[in-house]
Amino acid sequence: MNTLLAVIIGAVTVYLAYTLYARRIDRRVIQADPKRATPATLYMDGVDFMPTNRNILFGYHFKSIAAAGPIIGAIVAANLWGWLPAIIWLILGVSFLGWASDYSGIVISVRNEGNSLSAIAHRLVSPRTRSILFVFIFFYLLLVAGAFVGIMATVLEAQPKTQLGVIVLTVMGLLLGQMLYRWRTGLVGATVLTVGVTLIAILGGGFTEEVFKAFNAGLNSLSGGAPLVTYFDPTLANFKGADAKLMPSLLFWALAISAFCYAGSVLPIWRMAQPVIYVGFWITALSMVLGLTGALVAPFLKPEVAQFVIPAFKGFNVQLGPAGIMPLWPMLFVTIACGAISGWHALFGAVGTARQIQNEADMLPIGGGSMFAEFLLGLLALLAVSVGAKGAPVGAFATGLGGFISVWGLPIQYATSLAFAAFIVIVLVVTQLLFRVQRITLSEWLGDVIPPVRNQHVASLICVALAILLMMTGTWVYLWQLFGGANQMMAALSLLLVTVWLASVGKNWLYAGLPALFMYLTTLASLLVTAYNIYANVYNPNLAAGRMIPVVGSGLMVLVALLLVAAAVLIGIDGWRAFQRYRRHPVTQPRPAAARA
Amino acid sequence: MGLRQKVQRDLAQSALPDDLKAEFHDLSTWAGTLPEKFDQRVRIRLIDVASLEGFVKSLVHRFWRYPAFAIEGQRYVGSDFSRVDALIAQALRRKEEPSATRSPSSNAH
Repeated sequence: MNTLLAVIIGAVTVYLAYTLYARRIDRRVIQADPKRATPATLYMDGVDFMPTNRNILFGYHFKSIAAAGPIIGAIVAANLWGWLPAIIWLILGVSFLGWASDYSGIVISVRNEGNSLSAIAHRLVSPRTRSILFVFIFFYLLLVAGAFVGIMATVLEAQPKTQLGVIVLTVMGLLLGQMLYRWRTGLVGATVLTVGVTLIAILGGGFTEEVFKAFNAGLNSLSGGAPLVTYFDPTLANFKGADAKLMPSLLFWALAISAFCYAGSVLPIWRMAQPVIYVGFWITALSMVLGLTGALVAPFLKPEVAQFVIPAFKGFNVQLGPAGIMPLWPMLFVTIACGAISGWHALFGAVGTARQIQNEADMLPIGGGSMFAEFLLGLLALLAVSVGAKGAPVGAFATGLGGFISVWGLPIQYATSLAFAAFIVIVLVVTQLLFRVQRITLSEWLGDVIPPVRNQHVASLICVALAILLMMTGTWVYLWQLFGGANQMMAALSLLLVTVWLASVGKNWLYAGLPALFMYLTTLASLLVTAYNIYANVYNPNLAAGRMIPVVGSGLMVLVALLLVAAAVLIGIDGWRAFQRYRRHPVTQPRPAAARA
Repeated sequence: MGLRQKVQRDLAQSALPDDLKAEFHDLSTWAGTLPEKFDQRVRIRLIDVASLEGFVKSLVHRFWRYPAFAIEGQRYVGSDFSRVDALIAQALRRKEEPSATRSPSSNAH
């Protein structure tokens, strides 16, 4: 297998699934009607409801759903089970489930006055469903935050050549905000300066590598070279498990990332988050464009970086830790989340994009089209990790992507630095926004019971502390799979809701119902497997060794997993009852409802 | 108020410094008057400066300050909206002389 063949397979998949299946559902089942008024045109207020051009809305929707998910999931899955199961699930997932979930999230909202999924669930299923979804979302965000902080801290600590680039990105982001919004300089000059300096710092990271190595060593000498926390990590020693040491340098970089995210969460958007995202966009776009085109032509120009080198298949139940289990079903289907199907997409599509659809004919190109584009991002990550087998997962990804970029003549060490930076930037810009949403969720949830939580600094610090605690369990693979389980469960629940709605209006519900059933059972099973793995592989060994931090962290993770299972079971029961009710007595038109979240 | 509105309000409130927020408000108010002034013959596109499209438009039209307006090849940079009105009226007159089939478009950056 080589990269060109994989890209061709991916492109053919997108074409066939879109033209032969997705369009057919859009035409025959949903019967999208360009003449029907959409909520954006009916309730246009210039803020929430705003008819928007198809091309612009596609870009906005894609930017909102594309983050680290498709990249990290593909990397982890390829390392655990091999590239073949990963590529098969990516292809089948996006063709039969992913586009259907994203598209339907928009459709159900557009056909229900622009209401969010929770509001529609409140009306169609039961009032308690909305409250359960609310709690679900908070823990879902917590899992993402913990996984992302852990991944970034590990990469930054282990790759000293990436540290200068991230520091300069932060400084240049702040400078850009000052230039654009306070000094009011022109955008072109400000972009050239800030993106240019950041790029130089990223490419020149190798020159400061020794400085940061010495800095890390200095930090570690503060504790006399002793670890701050020792924990049992089942992912070490070729997945047999071994004791890992959390050194002061790792905690420093985790705290540095947390400080960045805290600032992103409490400072005005224009001051930090927005300009950092803008600078980061150029770095990421440059890497992705060079990488994808490089992967296409690599078999001809540089064949040594185009051949898959990791095993195609490693087994149905890979060993991860001494006591854990990692069966291909259900775990592959939650490890690769966003590139195949994702609940976040449906959630965002329903509350954001749906209110800007100006024409029903745009629902499929925007909802389904964005999901197919995300699949290509996941495929690129899978290609990169499949050709760059050396090192840890993120290192393998950067080596692979760096190889693709180097096809265009950039020396491999610079190309790899650029790839590392692109990865960190993608994760970093999402995480800072994630903390912002999480602190608002927390203050909404507990603000009345615990008034100090209404303070943005208190709420942000709680969110950051919880994420650090989860990170210190040292089991980011499980954390990622727990997040994947929650994310995919969200997709299952949104598809379940779409199925109930289709039954309620007397339409054929199979295209949503079958994926809903598959994802519901798969994610329930995966959450239970993950809870067991954390208990057997992390909680127990650390408890036996008397290590309290990883015990508390992993105990929290088990609790979250069980909470998610309980929430999903309750929603599933309510959804099934509603589905049966509507199958017996469908209503021809949905009851009118005020547009609200 | 739902969670989504809370998040959106938080983002909207901190999206711009106060002076730019006031400027944006004035711009929006002025844009809202255009259909009445020009009888639905004007199509307006508001482009966020800090975006890829904003970058490309700034480069193409050579805008180094904002707000900036491009009206059928005419440029204006500043906040005197009466001058933009005059440029739109001028563009409409030019269009109407040979034929009245196309509407002028206006881009505000």
